[in-house]
Amino acid sequence: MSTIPDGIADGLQHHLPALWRFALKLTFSEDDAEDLVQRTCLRALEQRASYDSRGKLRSWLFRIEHRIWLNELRSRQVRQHSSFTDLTDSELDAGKTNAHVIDNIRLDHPEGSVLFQQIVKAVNDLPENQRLVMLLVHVEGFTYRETADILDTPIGTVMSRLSRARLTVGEKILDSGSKLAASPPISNAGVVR
Amino acid sequence: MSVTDEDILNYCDGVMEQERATQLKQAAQNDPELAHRILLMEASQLPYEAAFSQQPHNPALPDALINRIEKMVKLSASNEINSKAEKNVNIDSDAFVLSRGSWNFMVIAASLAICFLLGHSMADRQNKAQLQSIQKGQNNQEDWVRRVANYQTLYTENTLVSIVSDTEKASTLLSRIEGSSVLQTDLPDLSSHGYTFVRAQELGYHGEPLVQLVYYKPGVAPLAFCYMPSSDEQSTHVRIGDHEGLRTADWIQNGQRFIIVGEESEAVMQSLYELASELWI
Repeated sequence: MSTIPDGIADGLQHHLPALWRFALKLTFSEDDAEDLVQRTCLRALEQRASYDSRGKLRSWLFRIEHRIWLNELRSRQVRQHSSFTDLTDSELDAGKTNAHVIDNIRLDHPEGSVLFQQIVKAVNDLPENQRLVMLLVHVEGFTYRETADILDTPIGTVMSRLSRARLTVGEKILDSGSKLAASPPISNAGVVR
Repeated sequence: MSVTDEDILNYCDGVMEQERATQLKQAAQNDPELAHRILLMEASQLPYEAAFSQQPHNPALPDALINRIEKMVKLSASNEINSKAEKNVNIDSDAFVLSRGSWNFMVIAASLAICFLLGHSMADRQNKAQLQSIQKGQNNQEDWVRRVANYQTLYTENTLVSIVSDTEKASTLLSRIEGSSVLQTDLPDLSSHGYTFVRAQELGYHGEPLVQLVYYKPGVAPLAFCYMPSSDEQSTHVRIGDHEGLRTADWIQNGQRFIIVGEESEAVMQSLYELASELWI
């Protein structure tokens, strides 16, 4: 008698916090994030037969979540414009109309580090394609290869977007004059395996 | 020396091979623009994970969501077991409470439930021979009707009000299904009965494609019109019945089995059948 592989059943609940965090960053809406996570879990259960247990469950789940969100953005675009085209960066950016709802509210919190606030703002101000790469590599800790798989894009594209994003963030931080000289360098982030 | 942004990224993150890193460092000493780019990249070496994780008042993972996922996993496991044993499945409707700002979650939940219950799994494909023999005969049509009707009870009016109808997307889906299967597809217009088309989905039943069309009319439960290939070549008259508080109209026509499930009178179901069946003559 077949049952759901333990890896997925347990993995869904184990990775739920990470899926929730990423969903918030994708949608900028608690309601949409909740629905996105639910749809992701449903899709994972539907497609459990296609999951290769030799791969990493976490990146597989993130890939599903990103794909569902992208399809939702496309659906919203189709409903608005009655046509189907690949989303451009500007159209992806238009999807984050609430970009600062979650994070900016907290930027005023007196307990927040000034540098941390500027880091979050600098990343959230990036074009969407670059922002996603930054989140996956430097916040969620995926490798370049895993990030490329999640976003269904070539690894070279990931590196290109990441390097442009890092230059932009670096420039904003320098302009703000709040770079802490003692900040430790990033280690092992996005190491290609 | 030609230096890309990716080169600078690798250099600053310490993953560039030593010889090239030395060359780049030397080049930067004579190239102010390159030196500036390296400076920017070094300035971007920041505690991103800490910054995002320590944002105060990040919305916590809702307990209700955790509970729904747990129930979803349990339900999926029990559906897979029960479909193998050809038993009825009791659905815990509390497992799929609508979330805030519903994103047609109930539609997906119902579709998933139908997929699981109707055997859309690798295990079922492995037992194809046994399932093919089960599909034959009137008992299988009744079983199919019962299962589809059971899960239609998961649909509510609130599920669909937030969904914008997309006939163009549905037509694209149906064309694809028709091109890749033996199914003859169509999208009945039920507006004469007050129904608005909402969405189309491709589900599966014992490895065969099952088209599910969902319609909305204010004040009544959502209506589903489903069809899939039939192993029975002989067409049948429409049968109108009751399942779990909903009315069903099912028939076999031109090598396909059809079912309409809704909250309507027998007369309306008969009329809906006549309207739909004309498309497959």
